[in-house]
Amino acid sequence: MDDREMLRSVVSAMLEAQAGSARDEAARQGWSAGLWRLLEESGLTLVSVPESAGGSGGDLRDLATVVQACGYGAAPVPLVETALLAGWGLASAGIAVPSGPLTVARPAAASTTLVPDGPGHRLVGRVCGVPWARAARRILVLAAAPGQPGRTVHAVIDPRDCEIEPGTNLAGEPRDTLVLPSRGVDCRPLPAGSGPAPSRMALRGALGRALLMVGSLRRVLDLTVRYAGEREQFGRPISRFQAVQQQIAAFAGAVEQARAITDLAVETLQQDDRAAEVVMAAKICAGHAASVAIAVGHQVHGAIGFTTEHELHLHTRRLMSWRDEDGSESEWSAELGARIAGSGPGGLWDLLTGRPSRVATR
Amino acid sequence: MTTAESTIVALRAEVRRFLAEELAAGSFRPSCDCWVRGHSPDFSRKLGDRGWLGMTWPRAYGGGARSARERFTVIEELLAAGAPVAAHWIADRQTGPLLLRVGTERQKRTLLPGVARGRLFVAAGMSEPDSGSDLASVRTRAVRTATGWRVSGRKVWTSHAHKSHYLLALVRTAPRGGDRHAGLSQMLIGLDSPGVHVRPIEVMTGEAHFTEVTLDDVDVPADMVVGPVGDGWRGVVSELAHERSGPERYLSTFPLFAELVSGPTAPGATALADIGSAAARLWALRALSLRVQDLLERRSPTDTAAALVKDLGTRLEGEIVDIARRACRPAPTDSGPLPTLLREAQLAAPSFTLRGGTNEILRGVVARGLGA
Repeated sequence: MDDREMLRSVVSAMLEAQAGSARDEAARQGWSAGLWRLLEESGLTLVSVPESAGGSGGDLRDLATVVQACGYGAAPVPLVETALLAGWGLASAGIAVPSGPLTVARPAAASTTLVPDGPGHRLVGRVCGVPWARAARRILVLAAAPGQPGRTVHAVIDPRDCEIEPGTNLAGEPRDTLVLPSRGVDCRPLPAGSGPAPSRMALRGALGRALLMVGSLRRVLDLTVRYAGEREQFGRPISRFQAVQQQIAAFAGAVEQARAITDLAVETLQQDDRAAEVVMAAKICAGHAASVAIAVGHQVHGAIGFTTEHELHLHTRRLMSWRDEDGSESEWSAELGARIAGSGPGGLWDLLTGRPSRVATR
Repeated sequence: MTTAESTIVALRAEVRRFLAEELAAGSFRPSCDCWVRGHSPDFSRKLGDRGWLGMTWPRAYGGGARSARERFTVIEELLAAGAPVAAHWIADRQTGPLLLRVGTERQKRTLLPGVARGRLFVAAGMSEPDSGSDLASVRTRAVRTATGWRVSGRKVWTSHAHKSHYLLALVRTAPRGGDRHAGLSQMLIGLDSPGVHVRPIEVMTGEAHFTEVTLDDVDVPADMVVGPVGDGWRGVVSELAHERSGPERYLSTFPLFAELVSGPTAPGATALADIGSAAARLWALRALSLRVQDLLERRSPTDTAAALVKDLGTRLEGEIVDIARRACRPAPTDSGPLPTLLREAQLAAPSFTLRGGTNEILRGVVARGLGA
């Protein structure tokens, strides 16, 4: 057993032991503070964030292992937002990473305004769909600096200074609205060309979502294979029916495809943290697989899979939400297709065979 | 796979340079499905001379002692370019590795160097008129003679037997008993042997790369049996993992895809999204295929993963044809690379999900492999 397999099994065992109480807690308040504390005490909430910035070290592959385990266990904690997004963003902006749950907010132009204020800006308005805002100790806000292409302004917000209007996605995970104080929030510019640009944050968000999805997809596949072998109809397990086998094989194919490209995206980002297209490809394949998983998982499970007594719905509802969050497969497909068509003769093949590419300014 | 990345990068550049020179010299026109239809002994010899056939085999047998990753790099470049690689394809992909695994020293010494030089071509004699996906049901029979075997039967869907030197035939060497996989053997039959009749079969693309091979009391020397007599099924199964997981299972229509995305006509918004989606899945398949090659090299079980690659890859090959068709809608008489590639690919597409085991059978392999 290698180190990463060991990490996976430790995290999985921890999540499984806490699953019942974590779900009860999440049903009441949207997330599990108890599970979070346990993960934090074990140094698992800031994996891949450098120790010098307050993190627990390790690399992106280690974090990917933890995130996939969280997806597999439907863990109601803001792990991706804390380690992969806010932790990375703060550390790469040279800001010490605080303990506790963190998240990021990406203000939309429709509901927020950046008001010039002396040398900097103030952000006023409301930010919708902030993941886990109610649970976060700090929220990293990133926005494109008005009139300065390629420059980013940021703020680190204590949510206690804001009003939080609770909201959830289809899975009941917090997607809250952050109502900023009326005087606004001070935003400071980040140094040019470095730090967490919004486009890079968006790609990391897509990668984190894809990793959670791969974990969840694998759980649904395991549940489905097991159920098909146990459930008997017409005197034999339904897995003996070729019609069922065909569905399960197509499902397994989509999952393996998503897993392979997501692994590649992690490896690539580990080498070159501006790699973009492979992350898009990972989210596209995960989104595609989610639709197959939902259809086949429920078809094989029959009516019991539609009840809340069974675990399946925890994953179905997450996969339904996650395939659309951080860019749906059609949004990323359009972006990836445009990049490929614009890359000239040989561009597609260069991309597939691993010539490094860069995040373009969007 | 431990090959240094710099080795791969240099090799890839070398293959691309070679392909660019060949294209400039007009030695081939890029085509879809080039590993089945692109038959050019001349081109195969050039690859052999450059050390790009039998790449992973030991030097003692004419091989290049290179890594599986290096071979993968060469063949994916050739396939992506639509180069004519059909003449040597079967011998390089499966006959060579089979001989290395179970062949006699004499077989290896006399046959492998010719294959690696691109001078000796082998056709696969597995399918029969009544066997289809159920390969163990083959009826071609071999009976012992004083010097070896006398073989009678009929093989079909054998690519390029009329242009190859040997047929690697799966035959029944013992009557069928309780274990239907027992009593089968593979043997190399010289295609110029008395009693061998080859009839090309014209297919709907207008070509005749398939053949029917009739074996009419053909005498085969005893030392041409590959592997232990009666143990042929094991060899077939080991060939299948190689046969099902390689880049030819998702790159058959890549020349069309590449022309679509970089040709003179800019794709519309719908086509761009289709292109992005197909490219993402193609990229994932390449990652999956590389993983299978890695397992094959380490001799780990790969049946399920190889079947997955072929199921997903061949469906995607077909989807790419549909994307191109919807995006460019050529008139029947349009010429130029894109309409030509599209016509070729459309007509070839129905065979993608049949050859090498139908996808329905493969899905059964996958489901059972998962324990369902």
